[in-house]
Amino acid sequence: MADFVNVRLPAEYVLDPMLKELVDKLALRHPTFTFGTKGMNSETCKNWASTVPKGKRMPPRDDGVNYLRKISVHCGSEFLGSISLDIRYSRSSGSEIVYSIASWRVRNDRGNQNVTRTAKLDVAVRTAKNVFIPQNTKELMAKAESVISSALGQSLADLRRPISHSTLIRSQLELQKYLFYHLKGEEIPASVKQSVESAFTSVKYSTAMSEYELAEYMGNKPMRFIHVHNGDYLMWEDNECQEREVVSRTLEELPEQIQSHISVLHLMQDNELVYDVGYRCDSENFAVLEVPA
Amino acid sequence: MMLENTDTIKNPGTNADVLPMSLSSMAMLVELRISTWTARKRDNETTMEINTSKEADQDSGSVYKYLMAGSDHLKKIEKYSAKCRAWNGTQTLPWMKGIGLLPMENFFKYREQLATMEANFFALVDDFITEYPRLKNDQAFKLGKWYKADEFPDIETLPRRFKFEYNFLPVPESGDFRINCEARIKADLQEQYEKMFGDKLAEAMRDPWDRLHKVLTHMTDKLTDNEDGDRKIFRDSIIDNAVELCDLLTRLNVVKDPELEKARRMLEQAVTSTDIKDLRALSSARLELKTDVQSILNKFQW
Repeated sequence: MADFVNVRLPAEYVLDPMLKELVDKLALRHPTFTFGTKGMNSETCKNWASTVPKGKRMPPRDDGVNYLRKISVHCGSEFLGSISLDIRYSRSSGSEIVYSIASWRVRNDRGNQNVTRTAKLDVAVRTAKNVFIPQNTKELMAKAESVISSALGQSLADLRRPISHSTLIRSQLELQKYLFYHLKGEEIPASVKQSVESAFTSVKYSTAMSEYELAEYMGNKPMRFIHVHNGDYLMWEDNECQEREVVSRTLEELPEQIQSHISVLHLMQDNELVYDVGYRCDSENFAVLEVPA
Repeated sequence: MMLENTDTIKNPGTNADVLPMSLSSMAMLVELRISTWTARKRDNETTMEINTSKEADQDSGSVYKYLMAGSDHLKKIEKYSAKCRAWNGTQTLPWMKGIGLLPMENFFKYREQLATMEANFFALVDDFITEYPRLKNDQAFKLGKWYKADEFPDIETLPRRFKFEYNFLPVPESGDFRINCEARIKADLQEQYEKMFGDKLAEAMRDPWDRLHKVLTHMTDKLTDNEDGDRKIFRDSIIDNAVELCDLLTRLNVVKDPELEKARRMLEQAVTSTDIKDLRALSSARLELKTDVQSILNKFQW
């Protein structure tokens, strides 16, 4: 049987013949999809491999190559789902080998919510065609928004924590004594004074306070979320009818201010907040300060 | 062709002027040639028998036999070739017979996919050639009295009958007539080329509008309920095709026609939030989408 260039397996595996029938059809139909073991570690591959094919009666292999019963499907870097061979038990037909297609687009009310099973090849092809669909820009933005807002919230909380949770203050009691004596105009005991002043004048505290103020300042600013997809920048914008829609722009087509913010954020580390610029979640997700109209 | 800033073509949708600027920097020509062994052979003996039995002239009818009867290896290759050609037709704009205009925006995606298709085509061919000796022997039974061993190509020469070739060519500039002739003839040739170029470009830009119009009219037709109130039968592809076309049109708008982009965005907005299940279940959903689609049809000149 033919080996297609978008079916990529490690040298020690070949596809189970029954799975190969389905995968070959899909590989020809979707040249932009890659079928392989990407995202599957070696343990997973071993668990889904055997020397004897599941679907058809064939002699076991003794050349060190195993039949693989599960394969992942990608479109570029996007994971679309997986296809595997499973055994289905029923009272009427006993056990049968079925195609199991898993994808986030599959919604089942009962059982495994994201998996659908069928014994028929043509049904499996049709199901794969309906569920292995790359995310559109709206879906990409919705997912990116969730990732960015979660990461941004976490980063802001991390920046605030040393001050908001007083983690740098060893003793609240000493701090209270310091304030009490100071407000009464009396001499502060030396040990209390030394302990409190050394904590509040330390570099560590200054840094923590700067980060807290940064988080307070940036946390109140409206941000625009931007997701990078295939080199283009996706963001929400209002169209002529004042409805929100996802637009895709190249770097050059971005408004100048946003372009400069993005350029700065590209130089930063992941999960870094930059004053009056924005936040870099990772290399594909950013939040930039809203530019006033 | 380096068009001057004052050179324009008409937008087929609104008849407004569109500035194409330099087409040779925004697009290229692509020629795709796929050929396969058809395994079809005229059987002269049977042709003569039939024509004689029908008391007809010998050139009035022909009988062709299929040398790979009962085998789907070659049919898979033919089917895949047809799919590749059809795909090429959707990814390019018509230019000349056998040659399409490929916008640069679509170039990398096109090139990547074409390379995958080429590799898969030859994987199918290799598989066929591996099986060829066995298939050829099987034909002795399947073709019966029609079988003649010498009509089958040698396994050494068979691979040459399968070709998957493509060439990327620049869009030629009008002043490039490198011939020695009178200035008057050269000027005539240039004028003729410029006219041809303008016609070709207008025709190429007509194609995305035609595709959009076809999808919109199909949607309007299918979303209009029958007189008895029942909905018409439609497939998921009514939305899938529209979404795919919206994506493709971002790369096929070689002259950056703003009206085409406006029409595309209107369609994209109408279909991206549409659930096919809702369309089937709710007449209100069908009416809403149909209204949106109709508004696009009414807004532009087709």
